[in-house]
Amino acid sequence: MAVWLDEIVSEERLLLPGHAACAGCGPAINIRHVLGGLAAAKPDSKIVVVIPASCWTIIAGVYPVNAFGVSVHLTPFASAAAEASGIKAALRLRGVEDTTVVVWGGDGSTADIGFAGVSAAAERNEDIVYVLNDNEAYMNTGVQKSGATPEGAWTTTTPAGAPKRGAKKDMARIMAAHGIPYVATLGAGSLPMLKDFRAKVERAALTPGFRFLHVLGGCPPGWRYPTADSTEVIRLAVESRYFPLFEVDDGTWRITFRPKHPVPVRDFLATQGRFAHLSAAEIDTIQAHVDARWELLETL
Amino acid sequence: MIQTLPRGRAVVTGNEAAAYAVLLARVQAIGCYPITPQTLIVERLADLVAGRDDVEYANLESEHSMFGYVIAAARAGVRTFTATSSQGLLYAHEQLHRASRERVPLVVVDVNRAVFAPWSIEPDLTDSMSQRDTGWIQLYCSSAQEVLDSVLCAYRIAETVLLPVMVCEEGFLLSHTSEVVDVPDQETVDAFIPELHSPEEWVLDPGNPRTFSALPGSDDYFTFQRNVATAMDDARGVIATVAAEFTERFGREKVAAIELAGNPDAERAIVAVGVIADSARELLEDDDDLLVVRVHTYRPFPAVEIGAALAHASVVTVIDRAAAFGAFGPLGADVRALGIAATNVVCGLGGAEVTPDTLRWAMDQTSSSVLYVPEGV
Repeated sequence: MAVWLDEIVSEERLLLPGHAACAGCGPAINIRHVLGGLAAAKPDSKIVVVIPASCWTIIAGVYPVNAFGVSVHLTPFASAAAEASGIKAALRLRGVEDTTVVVWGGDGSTADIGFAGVSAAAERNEDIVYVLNDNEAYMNTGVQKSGATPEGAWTTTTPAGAPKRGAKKDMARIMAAHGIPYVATLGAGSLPMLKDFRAKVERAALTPGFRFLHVLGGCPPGWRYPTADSTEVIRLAVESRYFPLFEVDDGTWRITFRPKHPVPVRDFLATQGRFAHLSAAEIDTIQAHVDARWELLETL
Repeated sequence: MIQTLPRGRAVVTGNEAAAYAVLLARVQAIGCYPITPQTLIVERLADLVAGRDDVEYANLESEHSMFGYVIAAARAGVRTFTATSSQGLLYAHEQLHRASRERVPLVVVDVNRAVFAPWSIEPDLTDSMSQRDTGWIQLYCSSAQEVLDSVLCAYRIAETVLLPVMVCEEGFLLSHTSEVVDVPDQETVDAFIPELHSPEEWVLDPGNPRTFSALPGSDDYFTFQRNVATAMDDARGVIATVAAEFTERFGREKVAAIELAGNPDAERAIVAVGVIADSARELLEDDDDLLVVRVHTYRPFPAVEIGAALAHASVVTVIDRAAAFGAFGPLGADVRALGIAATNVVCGLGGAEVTPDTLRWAMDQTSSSVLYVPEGV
């Protein structure tokens, strides 16, 4: 059955035209649907976005120009989750209940330097939406390896001669292990995937407590692919099962998007220069890890 | 058990005095993370606010997050408190620079403790004095009463000049030592500290979308830094006014910048902060040619007041209980920057005992470079 964009997206943009993101920025597409989805799900509610150090301190606009249609609180690299907690607490004390406080934190902030803070906010079950804006490396500083960089990837600190060893940190499963009300993985690689994406944002909007959304977004200069391919790259990430779309709703695991025609992971890897150095044997190893993770997911 | 505040004269420690002052100031959001010797402050506050829905009390996972929590809560318009010591303050260092530049009116108590390595939980001012350039107002106390009074004044000062205030008390010597303290009643404090009304444009309002601390161009960045320097200068007058008003309302003297004891026309003067300055007063019992200058407000540095106090002295000794390796101690450097050829002696690090004899030895020295008290003194 056909899916039409205007059935999914009707709200006004909360990341305004003229923002400073690169051409083809995957996260710029994603934040539009995160904020838009939250606004659509709770039209009477306001949104405050908490953003740690990242590309988004620039994309938000050079003072006094502002690229957001919502309030933005910028923080140091490691304290976004704690600061979202502080804002939520203050708004509660002031009787401002109709506000969704959202963290938009990169993978460096979330999986590395701010990891303890994210875990602690989840453990306290703070009433916030934490979005992991994952582009799989420190992109703002020029593509350095993070805890979310995938196995085998080139970055400037894991060069092709010594690429990233070991698995990408599995943040969705780690956060699910905290027993929080809602965890989901999201990728906007096609209209059906966008429908899944928006349904998860809506679910998060309407669920109280700590909600964790892991959103994958492509970075053309960091992943080394043409700027027009951001959607296609994410489509292949999902259809190759490299990035499975699932949710953990009140402890119940569910794969929400099953590729009808799964493709081998090499089809995803081949779209990006960051994997160009990989041998056939290395790609086979990555495929085996992707398959094993999918099989594990099926059992959860 | 419902915990209540003591009323009137009570025997309390410096840490209890801090907790009671915070509660009397009608704090709204408290961030906590344990560290010796601070912990008793947040423990006591936890008991005092348990079950109250008009106070948010958050257990954070680090001091970095704890400072982030109170900065964000203050940005969103409520009165906050947190406390720390030593490693905790250093772990939050990035947030200290940021809090003053964001102009959030935090009040924090630092219970001074030595800095690792090696491990020590003993009193030492290196933790807070090494943060002197972060844009915080710093008030150093020498009694539990002064801790209580300074915390109350700190809220007035912070919320007037929109800068964070750090109230410092030496670990154990003040934090865990009981004294008779006058705990004021709520009505008197309410009359002294009005409800928090931060300027509208400073408060995060979800209904009025704006970005806070957005990336500026260099000229705008410079302007924001200059504004912090100006606010720090404005704080001098505010600290004096608030102390004078406190003295009048509460009926006991509140020190503003510095406190003098002894002979104002003496040839010799000793300059110190906190408990050591209090110890120096003991020298006055048999020495009428001595002036003791106790520095209470260390930032903004009271250059005019100290310069005037030392105008008659020809021999000036500055005592630091803080290390600043490769240079004069923090207080020594500041006093010498006034053009006073003071001898700067560092003592008492890691709780090393500072007796009247230590201070007599210090005053017998003449040196143009910093001296660390040698073994056996």
